[in-house]
Amino acid sequence: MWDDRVNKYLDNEDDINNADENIKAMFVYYKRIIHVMDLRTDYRPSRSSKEQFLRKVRRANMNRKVKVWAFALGAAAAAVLIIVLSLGGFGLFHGGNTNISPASSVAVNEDLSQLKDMVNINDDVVKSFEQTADTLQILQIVSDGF
Amino acid sequence: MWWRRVKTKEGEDEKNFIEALKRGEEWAYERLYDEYAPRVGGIAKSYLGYDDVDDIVQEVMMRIFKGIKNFRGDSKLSTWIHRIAVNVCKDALNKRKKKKEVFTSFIEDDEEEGYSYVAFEDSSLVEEAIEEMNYNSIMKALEKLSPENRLLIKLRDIDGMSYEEIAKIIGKPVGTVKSRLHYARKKLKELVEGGGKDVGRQSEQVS
Repeated sequence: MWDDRVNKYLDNEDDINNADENIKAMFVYYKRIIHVMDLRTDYRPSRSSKEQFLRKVRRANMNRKVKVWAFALGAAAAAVLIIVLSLGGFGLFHGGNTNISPASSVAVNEDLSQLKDMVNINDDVVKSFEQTADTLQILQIVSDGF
Repeated sequence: MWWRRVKTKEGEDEKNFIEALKRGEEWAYERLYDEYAPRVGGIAKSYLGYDDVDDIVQEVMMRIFKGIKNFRGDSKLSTWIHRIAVNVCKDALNKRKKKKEVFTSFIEDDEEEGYSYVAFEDSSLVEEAIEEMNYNSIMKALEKLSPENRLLIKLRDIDGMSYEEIAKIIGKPVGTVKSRLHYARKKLKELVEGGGKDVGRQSEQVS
């Protein structure tokens, strides 16, 4: 039978030498069971197991570094893009699409009026040129839209 | 005082060690493995009741590697590591139970479960230990004892941990740990005396 007083000695709350013979015997008996259990649960890791773990650590460290570098490069690329955009460099990335980026504001009609003075042609001709230019401009806008 | 200096030095050493682990330094992981793998393996062997616990040790070590960044130092490093070890063992046992449920119809003889009879390296110690008691009954008793009871006995009576530390590891109050351990000790002794048979339960049922 188990005597609960043994716990006191197993927990080092009291010196076993002060216990009576029955308790002492039980104490020794239990200690022997524990000794066998200790031997039974003893674990000594192998060298290969340790190497395997360290390999995993090295690989994981490498992956971490790659992730950090990838993040840093991504952040740098994003920063460059933002700077370029904020400096009006948008024109670098499009092919002259007027729907996205308006064309130069120099009006064809103004060019024609200047030309009229230089070449000395009458107003009817100028008007027909202006209409043709307007039509062409509308056509360009429509085709850009497609 | 000299003892305070030693304590501070130990504390600083652990702090540096944890910082090195957080930085992923290899020497720190080598030290971690050397120091803790035997303890973790011992816990796994006693909790799970089988010898091949290399995978469990690897799993625990990798969880430490992944989780060390979140370790705030509220508890001792050893307590934190033991807690991880116990959790991994619980997961492994649950997985094993589920697997067993699936394959139970295909297994006729399930003697692989529990402790196998492996020769100890230090045979003189064993001879001494089995001088008065039957080695087989101890093995059977350990097999019959629940994993939780084996763990409590391992942590307290073999590894010599305090009740407070054990309470932190298993997440139960100190009083509960104490009463459960006292019950586990009693149960183990009864099982050994009964040759691995649950004499206590039989007598409880009869009465």
